[in-house]
Amino acid sequence: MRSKDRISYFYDGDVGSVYFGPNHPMKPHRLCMTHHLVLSYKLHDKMEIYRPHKAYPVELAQFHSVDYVDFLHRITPDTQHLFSNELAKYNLGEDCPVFDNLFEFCQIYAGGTIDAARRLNNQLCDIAINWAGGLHHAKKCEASGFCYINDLVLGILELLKYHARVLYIDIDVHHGDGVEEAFYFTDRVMTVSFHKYGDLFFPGTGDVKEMGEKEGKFYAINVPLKDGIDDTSFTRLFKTIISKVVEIYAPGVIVLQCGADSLAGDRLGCFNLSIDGHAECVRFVKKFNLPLLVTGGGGYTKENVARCWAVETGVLLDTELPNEIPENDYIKYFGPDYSLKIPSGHIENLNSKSYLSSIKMQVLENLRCIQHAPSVQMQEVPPDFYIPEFDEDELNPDERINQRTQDKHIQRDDEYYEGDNDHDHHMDDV
Amino acid sequence: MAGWSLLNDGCNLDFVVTPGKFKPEAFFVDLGPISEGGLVGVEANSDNTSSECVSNGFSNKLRCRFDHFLRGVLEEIYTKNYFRLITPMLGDGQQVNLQKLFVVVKQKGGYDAVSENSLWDLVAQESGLGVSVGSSVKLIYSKYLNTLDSWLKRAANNNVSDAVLSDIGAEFSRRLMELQTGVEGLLSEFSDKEDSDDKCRRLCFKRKLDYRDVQILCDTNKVKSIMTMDVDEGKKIQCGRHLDLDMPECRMNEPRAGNLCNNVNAMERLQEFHEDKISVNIKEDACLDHARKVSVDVPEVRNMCNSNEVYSTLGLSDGSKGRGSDDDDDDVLILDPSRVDKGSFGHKRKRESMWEILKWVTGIAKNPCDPSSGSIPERSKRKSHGNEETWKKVLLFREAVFLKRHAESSDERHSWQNQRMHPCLYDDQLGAAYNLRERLKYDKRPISGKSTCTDSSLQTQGDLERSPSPRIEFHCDKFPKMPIPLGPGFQAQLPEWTGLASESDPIWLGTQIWPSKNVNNKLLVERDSIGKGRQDSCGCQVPGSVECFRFHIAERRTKVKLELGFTFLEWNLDKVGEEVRRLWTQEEEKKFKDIVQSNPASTDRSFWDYIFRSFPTKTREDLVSYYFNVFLLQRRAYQNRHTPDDIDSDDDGSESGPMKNVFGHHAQNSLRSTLLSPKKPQAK
Repeated sequence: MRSKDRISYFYDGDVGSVYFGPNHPMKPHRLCMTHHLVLSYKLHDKMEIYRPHKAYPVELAQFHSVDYVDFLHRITPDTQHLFSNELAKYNLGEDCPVFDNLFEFCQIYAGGTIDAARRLNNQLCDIAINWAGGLHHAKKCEASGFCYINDLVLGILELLKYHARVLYIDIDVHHGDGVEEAFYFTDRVMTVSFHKYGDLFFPGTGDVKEMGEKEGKFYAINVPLKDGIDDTSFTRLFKTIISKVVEIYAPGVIVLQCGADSLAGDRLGCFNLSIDGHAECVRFVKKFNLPLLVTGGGGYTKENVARCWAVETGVLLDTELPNEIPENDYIKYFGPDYSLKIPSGHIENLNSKSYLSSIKMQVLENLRCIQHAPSVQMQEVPPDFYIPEFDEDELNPDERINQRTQDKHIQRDDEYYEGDNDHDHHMDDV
Repeated sequence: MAGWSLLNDGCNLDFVVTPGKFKPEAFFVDLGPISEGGLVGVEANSDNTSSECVSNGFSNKLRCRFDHFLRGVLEEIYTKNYFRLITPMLGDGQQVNLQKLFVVVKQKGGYDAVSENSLWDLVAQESGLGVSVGSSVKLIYSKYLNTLDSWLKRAANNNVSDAVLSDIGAEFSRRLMELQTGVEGLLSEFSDKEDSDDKCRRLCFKRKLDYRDVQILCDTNKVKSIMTMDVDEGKKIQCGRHLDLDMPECRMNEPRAGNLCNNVNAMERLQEFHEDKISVNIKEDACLDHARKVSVDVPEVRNMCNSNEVYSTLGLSDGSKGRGSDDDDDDVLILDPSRVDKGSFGHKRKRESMWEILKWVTGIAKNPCDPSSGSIPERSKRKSHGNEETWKKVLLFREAVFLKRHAESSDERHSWQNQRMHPCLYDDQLGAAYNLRERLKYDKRPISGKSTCTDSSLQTQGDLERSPSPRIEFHCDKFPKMPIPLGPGFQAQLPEWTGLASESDPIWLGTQIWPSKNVNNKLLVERDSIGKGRQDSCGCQVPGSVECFRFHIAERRTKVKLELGFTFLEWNLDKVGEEVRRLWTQEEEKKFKDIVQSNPASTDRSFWDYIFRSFPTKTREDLVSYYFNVFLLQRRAYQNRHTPDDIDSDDDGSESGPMKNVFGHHAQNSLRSTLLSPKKPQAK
């Protein structure tokens, strides 16, 4: 195992105060708690922490339709009553409400994943972490399941500029439908999602029979699971499938979505994973020593989310975290034991051995089709372009960006270079 | 409305609907065209061959239809030697009313019975052909009608029940054959998923047809209820009794085959009423005429009722009972499985609303004159009625099934998207019921027009069919698959892979915050080792006390602040934790608590509305920050100390009992205290 991985960690202090609205299970405040826990364990001394740039609309439109991005940009809670048709068209509403600073929130988390991908592309780091990202349900032209902008797709598109093949792994309890859908036709991205399927569970896709189409046939893998899967069976299945996938597909880079709603006791989830089981998947993926982009995702019991992602940050840093949570401003959220352990779930495991093995067999069977598919290009990945010493000041970014971005860019320059401590300011000016 | 046009075609005199060799099912293939075609078709055909029938009045019309039907059957049978049915005549040139003859013979027990008992003369007499022409009549019967008769018997003895629905023509009958195969598959091997998927789909298709039948029925009944005002009361009673008597009859036998045949006629007649109604309302007189005629003709009325029931039961329970029963009862004719099923209807059903509709339709079918079922108002007045009226639901259903199926319009997409997250997402008790998409699919698919089935019927089907068995789960899991939408509106545009790394914008790689370039604080601060946990012991007087906590948190905070320096502010750490309280006065804090306290969470309103209104000077961001950093944290701290088994910091506004005590309220067993639900995190 490499011990000298360079880790880039993306965090923007503004996301913690984003509020989806009363009774909405998605609470970005969990990101603030996660960061706190990371700091309290002193993990920041082992990595580089970046504030992501706020992705520009033109960047978001690399995947999303321009009209959708524009709409997200201009809609506010105060004006939304004027746009009921558009709200419906873009699936905005209760599920994906319009709230204050919505677009900035999207820009931050999407910017984080895009930046993470770019740093990986430029070999500025080996592992990039953006816990704010991982909103895997968002579709090209509409929001879905608390997700507005699909940062994963944007990040993968960025990685595809440098890598012939990207492997996407999703251990959120919900199916990674947005990412799968975006790359359903291509063999350049393989999507593997482990999720709860059936009982009308959101989003309803993710049957084992969904495997991609056209050139993408067999390049979408779904591992549908039932309620209450536990660490042992989950990690075994995960390792079997992922090791086979990596062996056959030989990706140049891996994107790992670590939705924490697959943990036991999640407000929306129904699995029985412990943090150790969840983190074991991360550890396993890290062992491939491939460039790795790690994002967050779901996770609706926020203390557990913070615990989980802090532990996984530790895993990626090869640092095992002691169970007793150090004092910090949010320590009370982790009471009464103030430890990293979460209580094991008591949902009955409905995944019989035979069910799991039949799923595994089907998945492996589909993988064999890849091995024998003559049309698949498996050429060597050329070495990534490497920028040994990167100096921002020497480069003229205007050469490569269009006018619109340029205008924005100039504004942002002022802010970045003059007003780094001016937080309130950039929450308001978007 | 492809089905309808097919049916209309079917009503034309050329009955070459089902190619291929004769099979018992063919009868049923034709049944639809005749009966249903009558509904819409007669008017269209009035300039056609059937115009003469129309002009000759009702009975002729009926007869004409029978002839059409007969011709259809015979043509089916004698495909090669094209059989031209000319109106049969007796030796004296008198035309024979085949329909009447057939009915009469049926009433006497069929060809064999009549021959045995030498009743042909009587038959001739009753058929209005005069006396002493018995032998000629017998000849005509055996030539023209015996084939039909024997064929009917054969049909009755064969596995034809599911063929009832094959009225969409050859394409559908092919499907039905597959369906039938599927049925057998289902029976023998339930475990085969794909097979049963297939089957389900077909079932749905079938069910849709059934619903169509229901609609027809509805219309028919509407007409009928108007009509029956004139019908003699006694007849109605008789009619009802007849129905009751029929109920226990499950087996299809020969007389019933005849009955069926009559049903066909009666049905035609019914539909003629109906069409009279829709085509021109001023035909009311004629309608009443017909009614009178019916009321006089007792057997006809009975038959009509029968046919009505056929329709209703066909429509209602055939689909609902699924394939299990309507394929394997060899000698059960169409009417029967429905009757058999009727009793068990209510038990299997899950969806009350559908059940209500179907019940209503059934009821109307059985007894259209029942005042309790009410009547459907004129079209113009319908809008003023609420959707809770059953007839309105039925109409809406018809609208949905008939009118919208082919219009994959943006409207529908819109209405689909308009639906939002299922409220149970926000319902703490149903934390895991986060299933919006799946649910929506039910609404979406019938609209899409791609699938041949309506999903509402599909779901009903599934519920009905499987609910008592564990397979229901399998059914739900497997069948309603969400198709992955494909097309440029959904997939990402991939950059072309040239084998060479393309450029990205290296300027946007994020702004490095840590390690900070500005401060070399390594020299300034004594640093804890990386990944160190909380110390077990501390020097406090009472370790673990509130004061102890407060002290260590503050200590830690100061350290972090020193260490991070500028970065402390960059990460907004100054606005984290209970520090936020410093910006709040005591009065404000109390006000905040009071508002939260007095406005328990509910789906339609939230304490936030009041909070935002009550603190006009504070930004929303400030308020939310206070909520997460102070209010919830304090609540959680209380829970940690006093109710460690009852902990939750995640739910907005859900107040646990102990919390109410804190705020000076009595603990209540509120339904909102769902913190102990099994899905809740029980942090320890």
